[in-house]
Amino acid sequence: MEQRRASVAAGFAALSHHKLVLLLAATTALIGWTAAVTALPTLQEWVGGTLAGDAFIRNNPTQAPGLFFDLVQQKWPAFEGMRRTAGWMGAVGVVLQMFFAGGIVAVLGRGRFGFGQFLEPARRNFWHNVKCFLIFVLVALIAFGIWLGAAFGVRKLLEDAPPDAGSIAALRWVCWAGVVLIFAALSLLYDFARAARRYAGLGAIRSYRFARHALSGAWLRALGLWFFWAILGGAAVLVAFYLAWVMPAVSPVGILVMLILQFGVLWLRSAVRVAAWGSYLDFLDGRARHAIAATARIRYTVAAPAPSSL
Amino acid sequence: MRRFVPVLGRPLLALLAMLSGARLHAAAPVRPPVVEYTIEVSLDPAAKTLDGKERLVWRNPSNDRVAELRFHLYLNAFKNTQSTLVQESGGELRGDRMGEKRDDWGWIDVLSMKTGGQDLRPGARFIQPDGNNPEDETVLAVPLPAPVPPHGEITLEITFRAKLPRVFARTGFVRDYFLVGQWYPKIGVFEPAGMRGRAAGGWNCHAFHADSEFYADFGDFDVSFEVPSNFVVGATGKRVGETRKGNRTTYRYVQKDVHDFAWTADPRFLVTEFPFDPARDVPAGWSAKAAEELGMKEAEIALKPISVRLLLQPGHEGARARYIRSTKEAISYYGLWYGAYPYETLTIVDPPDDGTGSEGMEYPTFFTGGLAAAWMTRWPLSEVRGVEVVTIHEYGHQYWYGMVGSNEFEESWLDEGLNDDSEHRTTTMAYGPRDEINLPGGFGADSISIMHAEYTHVDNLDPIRKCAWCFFSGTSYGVNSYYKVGLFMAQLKNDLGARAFSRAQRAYFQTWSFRHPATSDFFDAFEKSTGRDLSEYRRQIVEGTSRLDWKVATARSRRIREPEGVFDRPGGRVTLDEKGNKEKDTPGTWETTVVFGNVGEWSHGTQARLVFENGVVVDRTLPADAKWVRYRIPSYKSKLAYAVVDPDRKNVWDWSYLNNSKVLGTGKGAADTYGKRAVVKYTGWIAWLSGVWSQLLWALA
Repeated sequence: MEQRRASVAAGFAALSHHKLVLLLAATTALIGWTAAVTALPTLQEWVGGTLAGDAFIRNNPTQAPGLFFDLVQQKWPAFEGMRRTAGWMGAVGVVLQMFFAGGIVAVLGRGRFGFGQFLEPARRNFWHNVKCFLIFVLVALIAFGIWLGAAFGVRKLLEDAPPDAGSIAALRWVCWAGVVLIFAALSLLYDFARAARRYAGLGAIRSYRFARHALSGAWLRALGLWFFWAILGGAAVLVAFYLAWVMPAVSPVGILVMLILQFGVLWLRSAVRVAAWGSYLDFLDGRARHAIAATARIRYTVAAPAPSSL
Repeated sequence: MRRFVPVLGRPLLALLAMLSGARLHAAAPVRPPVVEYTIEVSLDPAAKTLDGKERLVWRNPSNDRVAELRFHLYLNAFKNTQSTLVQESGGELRGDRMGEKRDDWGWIDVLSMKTGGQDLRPGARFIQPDGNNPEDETVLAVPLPAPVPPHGEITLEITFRAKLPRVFARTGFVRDYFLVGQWYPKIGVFEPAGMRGRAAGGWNCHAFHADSEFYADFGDFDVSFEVPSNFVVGATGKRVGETRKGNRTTYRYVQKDVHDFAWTADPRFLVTEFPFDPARDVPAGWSAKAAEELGMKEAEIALKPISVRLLLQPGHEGARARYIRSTKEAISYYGLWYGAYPYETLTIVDPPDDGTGSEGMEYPTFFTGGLAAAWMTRWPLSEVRGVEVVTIHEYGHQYWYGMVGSNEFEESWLDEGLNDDSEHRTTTMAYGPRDEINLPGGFGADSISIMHAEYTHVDNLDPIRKCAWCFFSGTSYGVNSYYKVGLFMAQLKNDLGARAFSRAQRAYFQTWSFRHPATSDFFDAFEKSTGRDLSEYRRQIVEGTSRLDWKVATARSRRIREPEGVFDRPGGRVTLDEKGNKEKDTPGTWETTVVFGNVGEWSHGTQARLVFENGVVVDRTLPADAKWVRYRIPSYKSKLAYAVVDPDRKNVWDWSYLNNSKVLGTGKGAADTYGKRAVVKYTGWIAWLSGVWSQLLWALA
C-alpha cells in the first residue's frame, strides 16, 4: 500500500513537467483543429451566413432543430470530410503518441530535462514502440476475440432466458468487467514493454517478457494504479464534457469560457497520461533490476540512462 | 377521383358549410354489422400453436349476388421464404430476421369451412390478387354452392389450426410471450359499387405485404381463448367470462363495432389497472381550448370514463408512469378534438426487449407500446419520449384505423399519416415545443423537424397516396405514409387556421367513423367544412410529388457612392473625391436588392422579411404564383442586416429551411453577430470532439 501511494505521488510529481503536458495537449488541440477547419467554410456560409447560427446559438425551440437537420443532411459531404479527417488525424495522433512515449519513458522521474533530451530517446525508441504497438494490437484482438466469443456462446445458452433475468444481467456485467480487465492488463503490459527501454536496449518481444516479469506478483498493485488514473482521467473528462455541453455559451465571454474549458479537458487528459506514466515508471524503477535479470539473454545494454538511477 | 371546385363554387361551399354547421356529431355504427365472429381457440404454449373453431356470419352489404368469399390467412405470410411478405421484406423487418431457427415459421391451415353441413374447403384455393407470386398463401378464395343474395347473409363454421411465428412483423411469440394478432381466418371486405370510388362491387382482399397493414369490415366479436392458468392475458374488448378447468383457464372477451380482434398472453406480465376519469384526468385547459377551436360547448365534447389495463414487462417498471400519463393525454386529446372514445375498455401491452417486432402495433381497443427498455427511460434519455410517442400514436389508431376504417393496403396515409399529425398535436400540447426529444442542456427536437428531416432524406419519387407495396422502397412507404402526411396536415392547419382545420378534421372523423372512407372523402369533408377549394393540395401534395422551396436567392446592400471625378459645373471644372472635396455633405445611403425565389414545383405564397441594421423591419407577402420576386430599395439610410423568407415557419412543407435566409457578412445586426459567434462556438466543438477522439485513441493505444 505504501509503495502504491509512493507511485501515485510520483505520478502527481510528474505533473511538474508543465511543458510536457502542454506539448501533449497542444498536439491534441492541433489534431482537433486540423479536422475542424475542413468544416469551417460550410459553417461560415450556412451557419454564419444564414439565420441558422442565430437559431442554434440561442437554441430557438422551433427553428433550431429543423435547421440543424437540414444542415447535416444537405451539407453532409462537408461533415463527412471532416469526420474522415478526424479519423486520420486520430491515427496520426496514435503515431505521435508512440513517438512521445519513447521520450517520456527516458526522462520522466529523472529530474529536469531539456527538449533535446526528450527528443533523442523519442526518436531512438520510436520503432521499438511501433513494434510493441503491433504486438499489443495482435494480442488484444486474440484476447478479446476469445473473451467475447465465450460470452457470445454463454449468451446463446441463455437465449431462452427473459431479458430482465439475473443471469443475463450478470453475464452482461461479467462480460464488460472482463473487457475492462483484459484491456487494463494488456495496456499495462504494453506500457511496461515500452518502458523497458528506460533500463535496457531490449527488443519488442523481450520487452513484453520484461513487462511480464515486472508485473509478476504485483498485478493487483499495478492494476490499482491503472484504474486509479483511468477513473480519475475518465471522471474529469466526463464532468468537463457535461459542463461544456450544458453551458449556454451565447455571449463572447461564455464562448471563451467554453473554449478554455474544452482546452482544459485536453490539457487535463494529457496531464493524467503524464501522471500515469510517472506512476508506472516509479513502479518499474523498483522492479526493473529483477525483471531484467529474469528476462533471458540481453543482447546489449545501453550506456545511458544507466540503471544506477533505480 | 379528382374534384374541381370552380372559383364561383367557393362561396357556395362556404354557405353550405355554415348552413350545415359541418358535421360535428358521430355517425352510428352500421346495424346489423357486416360480420359477426364467434371464436373458441386454445393455445399450446410449448408447440406455439392455436386450435380454433370459428363461427362467422357475413352479411352482403351490396346489391350484388356474391358467389365467392375471400379470406385473409395472414399467418401464412410467415410460412416460408416464398411468401410475398418475406420476399418483399427480404426476411428482415423492424430489426427481426426470419428463418434463423426452425420454429421461426408460422402458418394457418383451414381444416374445414362448412355452411349448411357442406364443407367448402375442398373447393377453396389460394389466390394472388396483387401480382404473380403463386406461392403466396395469404388469400383464400372460397366458391359458394349458392351466391349470397343482395343484403343476404351466410353463416360459416370454420375449424383451423395455426402455428405462431417467432415475433416478426407485429405478431408471434418470444419464449412465453404471445402477441396473437391476425391469427384467425378473416373475411375480406366486399365493397359495394360507389364505395371508395368503386365502379362495380367486388372483393377488396389483398395479400399480406411487408409494407402494408390491414382492412376489414366492422362487426361484433365474441372470442374465448384457453391458456395455461398461470398466464396473464389481455384482449380486444371486455372480459365477460373466466372459467378454470384443471391447470387451464378459458377467458371470454366480447366487443361490438370493431374490425379486428387481438390478444396476448404471458405469465410474466405485471398488471396495472387504472381508470380514465374525465373529471380528473383531462389536462388543465385542454377542454376549453378544444371547445374554443371547435366552436362548441365543453359539455358537448365531454369524454366518458374508460377502464384501462396496462400489461407491463418485468424490468420496465420505470415506464409505468409514462405509459399511464401519455395514455390519459391521448384519450383526452383525441376525444376532445375528434370525439369521445366509445368503448369501455383499453388494453396496453408492453412487449419484452427481445420481442420488439411486436412493438407499436394497433388493434381495436388494444395496442402494443414500445421503447420502454430500462436504459431508454433513464438519464440522459429520460426525456426522449419514446414511450409517450408510441403510446399516443398507437392509441391514436383507435381513431384513424380503429373507428375511421380506411383501407391501409391502398391508402395508408389516411391512417398512419393522419395519426402522425394527431400524435404530433397531442405531444406538443402535452410536452411543449421539444415534444419528442429533450436532452440535458436543452437540446432536442420537435416532431415537425423530425418529420421534415425524414421527408427530405429520401428521394422524392412517390406521392403520398399509393398502395402500400407500390412505393419504390420501404423507406419511401414510411416517409410518404407517415411523415409527409404529418407535414401536409401541419401545412394545411397553418393555411386554414386552427379553428377551421380542427372543425374540418372533427367533421371528417364524425362523418366517417365506423365507415370506410377514401382520399376523396377526406377532401370532400374538409372542403365542405371549410368552404375552401383544396384540390391543389390534393393534386400537388397528396397525389403528386410537388415540393415548395422558397429561398433567398440573392441579398445585396451596397453603399451608394457620391459623385467622384472631374465635372464641368456652371462655376467651372471641379474635381470631387471622397477626401473632402464633395458637392454636399450627406450621410451614407445604401442600395438594397433582395431576390426571393421558389425553386419548388408547388406554387404557394409566403411572407418575406427584410431587417436593416438600424432595426427597421419590412414585411412583404410573396404571391403564390410568383417564381421569384425582386425587392429593390434604391436608397435607404441603413444597410440590410438580413433577409428571410417565411420567418415564422408557416410553410412547414418547404423543402429546405436552410436556404430561407441570408445574413450579410459585414453587418452589425444581431443575427450576424450571433452567426459569427455560432461559427466560433461550433468550430470549437468540432475541434474539441476531434481532439477528444484522438486522445481516446491514445488511451486505447
